[in-house]
Amino acid sequence: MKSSDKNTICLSGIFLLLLSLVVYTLFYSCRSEKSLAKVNTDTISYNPTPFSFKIPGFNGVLNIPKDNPTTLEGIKLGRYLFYDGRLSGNTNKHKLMSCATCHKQEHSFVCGLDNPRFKNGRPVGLHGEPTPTNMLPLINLVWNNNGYLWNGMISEDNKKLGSEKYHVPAREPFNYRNIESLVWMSIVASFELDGSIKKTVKTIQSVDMYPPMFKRAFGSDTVTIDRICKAIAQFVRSLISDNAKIDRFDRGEINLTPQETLGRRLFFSEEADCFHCHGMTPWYTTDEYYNNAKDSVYVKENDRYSITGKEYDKGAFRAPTLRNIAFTAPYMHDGRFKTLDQVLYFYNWKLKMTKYTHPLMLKAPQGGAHLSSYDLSALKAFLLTLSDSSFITNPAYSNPRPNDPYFIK
Amino acid sequence: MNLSIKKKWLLLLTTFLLPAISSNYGQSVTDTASGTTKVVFYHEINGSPVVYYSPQYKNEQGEIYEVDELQYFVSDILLHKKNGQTVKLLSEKPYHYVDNHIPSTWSFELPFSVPTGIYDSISFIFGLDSSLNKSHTIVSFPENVMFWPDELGGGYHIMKMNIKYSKDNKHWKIFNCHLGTGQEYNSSHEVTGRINNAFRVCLPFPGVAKDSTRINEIGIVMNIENWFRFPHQIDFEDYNQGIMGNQKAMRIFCENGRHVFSIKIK
Repeated sequence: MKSSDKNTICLSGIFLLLLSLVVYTLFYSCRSEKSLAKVNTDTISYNPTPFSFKIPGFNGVLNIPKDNPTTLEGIKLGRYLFYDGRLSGNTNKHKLMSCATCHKQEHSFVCGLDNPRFKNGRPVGLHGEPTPTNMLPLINLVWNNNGYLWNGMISEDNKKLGSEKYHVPAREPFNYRNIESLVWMSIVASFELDGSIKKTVKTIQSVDMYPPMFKRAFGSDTVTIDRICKAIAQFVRSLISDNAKIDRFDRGEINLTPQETLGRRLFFSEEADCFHCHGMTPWYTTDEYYNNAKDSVYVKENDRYSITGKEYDKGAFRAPTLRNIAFTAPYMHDGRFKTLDQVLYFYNWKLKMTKYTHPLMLKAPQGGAHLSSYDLSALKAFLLTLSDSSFITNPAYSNPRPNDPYFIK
Repeated sequence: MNLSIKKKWLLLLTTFLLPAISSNYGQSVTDTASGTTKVVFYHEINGSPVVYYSPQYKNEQGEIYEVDELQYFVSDILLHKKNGQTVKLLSEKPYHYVDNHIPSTWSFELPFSVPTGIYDSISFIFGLDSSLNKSHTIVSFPENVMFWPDELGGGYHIMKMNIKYSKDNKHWKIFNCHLGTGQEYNSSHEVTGRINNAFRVCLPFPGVAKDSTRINEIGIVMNIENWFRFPHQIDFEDYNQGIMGNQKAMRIFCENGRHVFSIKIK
């Protein structure tokens, strides 16, 4: 190839690059100008439709703040915000981040071990800071009446909420001690969106589609952090799993295999003794906190003790739901186990009895349940009946604008 | 002139009527506060309040133990009159839940005072009566955590008493005295019957001072050591793999349970 040809190719390349830059800039500046335009919402009426929570055959006390009733309009708005990367207060495509950046539907809303952005299933914030604990799935949280997160920090009972340390207000006008608090925390926490409330509110207000949606959900087109938190909380509460194989079995629609039946018997007996912490059906958790004999030495960390200050809570963490356990690796508060087999091996052979071990860990003194490999396989087969694939593919929980570059895939 | 009359009326109202109303209100509150009787649940070992999470107790077998958790239901609490009539004490909820971690569960107040000389005993079902002991009937937290798996008969735990014990003060084991629905099986291990192990406890009132006009407090005392002492002496080692699927073991503990309660009146 001649050198003049090379120069021509090089110049053409530069020209194309410049052209695409100009087009890109024009495109985004137009979008930006357009989104700043005031949208007239006067003709939109405020007539929210109440959302009904129901799992056939079961009752439960709903944990919904009085000032945030769940409505179809609120859920819809919350779903959009949940997936919109501009929740971080940024419109730069490299700085987009939202709840859905880490909470992936295909993993029951944890980030998953196969996430290309986060190593080992442990998310990091917008600026690289890792989250202090492993993620918890977002399933049936509306029936949880014992605090949120691994240590129950977000709770009616945590009077420390509202202090500077937590970055979450719990006083007038934001009396957040519920899922609404988690949204607030996610926006400002350095290990999550690492943003500012002001910037997020301003950014969301500037997007044309939102003022009408806020009007429909809350009666006003003005975007406030209160309404953002409430809408996303409504969406999160609407994430319901009730159609796993075990649910269909409980409803009398199908039978379990002999192996699953054996696993179920072991699960609900003191032989394997899973049920005391995980067997409250249909939630498959008690939402209580236990030191489950993971470690021989107590290490001060974000445990239940850090919230209650009670000695018996040292090393204790929430018993997570076992629903969709097959989709929610890694496991434990620190994500130390990558597979379900590792978890079962731990409970069968590697429990460590200490003075802080919860007394419901009946098998801890002997190191584990010591089930045969046959029984252990049966137990695993039963755990897999808790997989609800309709939950992870439910269109109502998915990205509402998959072709919108601002929305997190 | 009219305005002046209105003002006078207003003055009269504020001077006489309002204090009268607030005085009556205050009187009424005071009467209620001082006029009711409390039912209090005490948990003792060897006559002293139990110190939880403290390995300072010994059973008849010489095993050192600590009580970490104690949770139970009582239902159908009745006051018995000398003439044979009874009065139900639980009205809002048909059961009462006691949890050593939750102070508000250690007592409840009756909506009336119990005068002396009319009632001579109290009785209750330790656990839930059969109409309540059905899975998913209790939905509020933390009572619902007392669920008893359907695979083991369903309903709710009567009691969870979680204990750590040691024979040598070095190696610690766990004994969980969990009582609930028992099951009977045939030789093919098929369930042939279910047994609600809840049982009724009757506690006569001890002598009450004659000059007293009412009872301030009915104390129901669980003497924990008796769970392991009488009529069956319990070696924790025999039961440290759990008793929930073992009706024979639960029956033994329930027989002991009939001797663990006493009463103190204040």
